[in-house]
Amino acid sequence: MFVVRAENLYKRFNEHWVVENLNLSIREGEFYCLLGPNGAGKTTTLKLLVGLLKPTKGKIYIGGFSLDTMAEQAKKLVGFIPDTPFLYENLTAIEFLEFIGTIFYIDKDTLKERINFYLDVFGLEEAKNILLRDYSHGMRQRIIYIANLIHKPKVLLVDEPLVGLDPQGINLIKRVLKEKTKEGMAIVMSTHILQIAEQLADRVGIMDRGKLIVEGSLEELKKKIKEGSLEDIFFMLTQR
Amino acid sequence: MYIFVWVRIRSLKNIFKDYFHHRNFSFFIIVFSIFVSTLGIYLAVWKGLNFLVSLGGIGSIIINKLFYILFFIIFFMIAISFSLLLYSFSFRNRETEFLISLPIPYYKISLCKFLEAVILSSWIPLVTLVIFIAGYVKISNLSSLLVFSSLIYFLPFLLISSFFGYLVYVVVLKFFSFKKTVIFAIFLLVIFYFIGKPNYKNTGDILYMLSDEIIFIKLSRLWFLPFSWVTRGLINLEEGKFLRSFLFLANLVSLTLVGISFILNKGGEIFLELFYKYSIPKHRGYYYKSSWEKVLDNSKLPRWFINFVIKDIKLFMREPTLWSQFLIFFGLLFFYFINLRKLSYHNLDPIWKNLITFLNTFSILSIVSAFGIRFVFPQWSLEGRNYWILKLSPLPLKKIYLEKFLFSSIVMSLVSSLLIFISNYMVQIERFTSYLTSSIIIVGSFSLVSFSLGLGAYFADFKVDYYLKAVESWGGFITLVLNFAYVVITAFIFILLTHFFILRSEMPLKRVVILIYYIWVAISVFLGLLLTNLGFKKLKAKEY
Repeated sequence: MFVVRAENLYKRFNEHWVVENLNLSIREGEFYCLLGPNGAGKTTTLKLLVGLLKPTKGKIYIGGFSLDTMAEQAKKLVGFIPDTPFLYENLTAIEFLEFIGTIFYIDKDTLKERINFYLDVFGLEEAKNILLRDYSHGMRQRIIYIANLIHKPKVLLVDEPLVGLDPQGINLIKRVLKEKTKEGMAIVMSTHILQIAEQLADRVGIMDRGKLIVEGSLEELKKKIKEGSLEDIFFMLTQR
Repeated sequence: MYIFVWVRIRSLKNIFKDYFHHRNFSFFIIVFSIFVSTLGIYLAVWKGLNFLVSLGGIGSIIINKLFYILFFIIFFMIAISFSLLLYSFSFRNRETEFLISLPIPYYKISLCKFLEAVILSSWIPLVTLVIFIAGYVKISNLSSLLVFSSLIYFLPFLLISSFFGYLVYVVVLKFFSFKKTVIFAIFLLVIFYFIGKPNYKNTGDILYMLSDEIIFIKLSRLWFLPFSWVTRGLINLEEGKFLRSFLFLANLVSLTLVGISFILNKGGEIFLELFYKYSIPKHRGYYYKSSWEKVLDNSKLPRWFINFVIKDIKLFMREPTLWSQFLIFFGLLFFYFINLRKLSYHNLDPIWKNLITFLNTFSILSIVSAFGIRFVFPQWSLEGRNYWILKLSPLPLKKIYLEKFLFSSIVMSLVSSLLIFISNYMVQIERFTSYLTSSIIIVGSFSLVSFSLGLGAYFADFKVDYYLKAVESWGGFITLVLNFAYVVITAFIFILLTHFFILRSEMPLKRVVILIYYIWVAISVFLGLLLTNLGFKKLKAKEY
């Protein structure tokens, strides 16, 4: 079953088309990587999928709910990690996570249990009562992952997921995300790091100038293009 | 909605706790400053009202007019401030984007932003109104219950003022471009002018001045506008006409309910539409060199100076919340000053002309002070993530500091001296006071800029990404208190001195005024240099 469906999606900023005729279908438990050079329309696509931008044309469905007419129901199923996430600086980690839990109507005991579990997984147990303004960049990244995992979204949209993380952090995030896909969560990730896509993705989509120029599993892409690595494919398709 | 209130209260509680436990001294200074400022304003109101009461019948008439004018001015102040704050909170705040990505109904986000802007735009007017009423109750020996019951009138009034600001915000953002907004503002001013136009010929005598024919008084008393309902309601309440008073209260409450139901029903839809329009850039803007830039480019001034000035002007002009405030506040003063002749202030006794001139000086300095806090104070913090460029550049920090100081103080002193020139010309004040007020304005502008820039450097926080965040900080508060105290003390000293000077008109007193003026200049320069030095040293030592 598809958890994300985008049909004939267009987005125009004045006369400039940033997304053009995009069709996207993501299955439950699928890890989908969106690749492309700067300005290809990856971040715009993710913002469209979470409702931060309104499509000029086209429809988006999350878990069967239209993002246009049933926005609340659709957003309950989504987690979104932007490249520079927002945090309430004067709240502690625990307070911030409680806020998120309340927004998603998670009952108190379950919320407490999940918060403790993820704080432990992400190694933030000791820092849980520190104000978020005093967190380092890596800690902030980790807390935003926890905030997006505690409500068990059906789909997680991630924009440049590993910016500013140390090798341990990167390893941890990769492991957690892979585990989540096994539990049925779909992940749509926009990244510049081709190795990540090679290691994690079930399917890869390459965007350029607002268009999805190619899509498929790594093997399919390799067969289609008859080239070596993902890097070769990427450079060949996005050459200007 | 509860969860939004919870987040704000929690954040405030954490800030409070942090100050209380880790910054005892700062906490003490804040509490002390709030207490002293409140007491100072109360005493000033009490003294002023006492003076008016001592005038007898005329005094009572003036107090009555003051009530009307106070609510009239506060209504527009809140409306302007509210619309700018709502714009900032909605489209210049990263929280909005975060909230939209969550499953929260849009009307709740819109209501949350609305209430936040209401609280921030109206808490100072509310405190001012309560202090004013408390002073009036004390002078008139009325029951202190009147202070509490007046709150019932104030709250719907504040909401109605905000709602008016909301309508302006919606109309301007939804339908207008910059040009159309200017035309709309002129259209509104013309309408107000014709509504408030006197029916009788201006005789310029005291009876005319105290009649309802003066444009501001006439506007403030219009029966169909909400700012007059509060005054009428309170006057009737004071006179024991409870039924009439209740009628005005009912008007206020019903209009408030109309506003609230509009926000609840349409707010979410409007919010989302405007968010899509303003929060995300809708086009790739192309900016070319303008003619002013070319003029600056070709000037003989040092290259580094020109480049910094061009950067500062561009950043200012590309942030609508900054230039719009600048235009609105200085524009309103300009509009008021060029109409001073119509108010016949030039025909008044010298003692009144003198008072009006110094009140005008005080109002210009107050606006310079407010702009110092809003624009000059955050300048270092806004360098933010780019501060490393300045730190690594071969250009000495001293030069960058000098550019920021010269740019801000020259702009401020030029605008404010033009305004005081218009005011003095219109009131036809004698030469001595004219020179005195002009030099007070120039020295005051330079001093206020140096205080704000020095404290801005001292309290620079490179993590802030928007100017309001810097303004709301502890450093912003200290600058607010210091600037405000400087303006009030300056106005107080010179009003009193020149008042005695005119009363007695003796040469030795003129010499005293000049002597005090020099002392005031020396203190201003000393304070300016001290804060500049403190700020500069702290900034230089700051690690990125």
